[in-house]
Amino acid sequence: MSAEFPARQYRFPPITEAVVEFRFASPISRDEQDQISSKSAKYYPNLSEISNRHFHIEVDKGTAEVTETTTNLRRTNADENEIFLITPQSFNISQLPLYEGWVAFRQRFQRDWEIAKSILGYRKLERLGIRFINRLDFPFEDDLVHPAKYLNVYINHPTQYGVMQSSAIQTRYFVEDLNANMTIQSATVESPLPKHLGILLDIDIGREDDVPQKDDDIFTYFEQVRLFKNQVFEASITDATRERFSSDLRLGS
Amino acid sequence: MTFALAVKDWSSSPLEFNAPLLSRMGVPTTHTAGALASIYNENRHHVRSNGDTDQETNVTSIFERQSLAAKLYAAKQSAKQYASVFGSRISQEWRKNLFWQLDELLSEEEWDEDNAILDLESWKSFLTGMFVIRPAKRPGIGITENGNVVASWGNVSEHLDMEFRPGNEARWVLSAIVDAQFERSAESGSVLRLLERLAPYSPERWFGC
Repeated sequence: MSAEFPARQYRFPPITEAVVEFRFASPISRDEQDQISSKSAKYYPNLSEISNRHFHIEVDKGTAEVTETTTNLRRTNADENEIFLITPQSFNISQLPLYEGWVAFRQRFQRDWEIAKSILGYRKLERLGIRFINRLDFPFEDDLVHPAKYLNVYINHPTQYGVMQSSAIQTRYFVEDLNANMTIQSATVESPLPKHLGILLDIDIGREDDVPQKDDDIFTYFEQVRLFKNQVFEASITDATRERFSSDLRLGS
Repeated sequence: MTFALAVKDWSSSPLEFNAPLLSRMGVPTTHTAGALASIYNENRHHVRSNGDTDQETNVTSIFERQSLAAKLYAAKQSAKQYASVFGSRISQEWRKNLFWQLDELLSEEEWDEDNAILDLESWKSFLTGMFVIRPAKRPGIGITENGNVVASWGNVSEHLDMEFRPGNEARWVLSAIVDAQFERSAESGSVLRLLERLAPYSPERWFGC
């Protein structure tokens, strides 16, 4: 795939969220969650606690009881575009726009990994994941958007069906080179831009088998995933979409 | 009949409702790109479809019980998160300036407790309006006592003040010198047609473009 679809760098990438996940084989205690949270507070001053409550409801008796309560700690920076989510099983580092490139993102999640490791010590990893969600905005032409013009991933349907109002697809693959599962989703969504349609292109790659455990191996693996992810993205779009990345529909230069 | 129901406490932010839907699919996200509104609505429906309509009332009451500081924080958080759906289409310079103004406007020290908190729907109309106009000059922004965003351009003699209402509606008051005559006007209409409506007044005088 790499020769046919070389990765490119865009000045204005359409990334709406980039996420890296470190999931552990054993739980993180609430005390450990709090320690990681406190230690990362200088980078993420805002804190939200999200309680997940599981109820068991018996409709016939009209009773409900809480069977389990867990807490996710969600730390964010002042601009609310850098997120550090500490759950009882994992932590996720998320970047919302502006996405200022892989190098800056990698430095962030390496830093946060070091913070977590300083509290947890060695803890077996059960899953490493990377997910990039892109939203591509296309202008309506005569009240229509033609996905085939912009994407290589779309639903082909008989014309007798009429005009498609919305669509959503999900496909899964096993990527041998990465020993990982990849899920690609694409769906029409509302675009915030006037007279445009949004199409999500969501690439999610996760490894749960023979997961790298040493720092060097972990970050080398993430580099490999990132290169593959970029090739998948390039293979999913057409030149008409690439041309739109230099569109002048922006606020500021 | 028995069944289990997983509920997320909404007290921190209504947008947290996004997380459970997509987390089933792999790497959990904390945000959902352009689908904020639709996924939020799907989750509200999901709660209802599990047969507990009171759940939504409870969630709302938790939100209303928050302190002023928590409400202001939640409003800032929602507004900044919504701005992120525009991706890199909002430059760093614009983003910094907008967020700085938001932080100033929604600071606890400056806030009059009788005023309504920023209406997210008005903020959405404002950002849509900015993409319709694409002004070279950034506006000064304010918040009306009912929570709507007001954007202002110009100077004392030639100014444009525009209130953005939910649903891509706007109301504006302007003063301008046209053909050597001083004119004032107060109008309202769709945000999507702002440029056409303002064209007779040569809006580049305010927007710089």
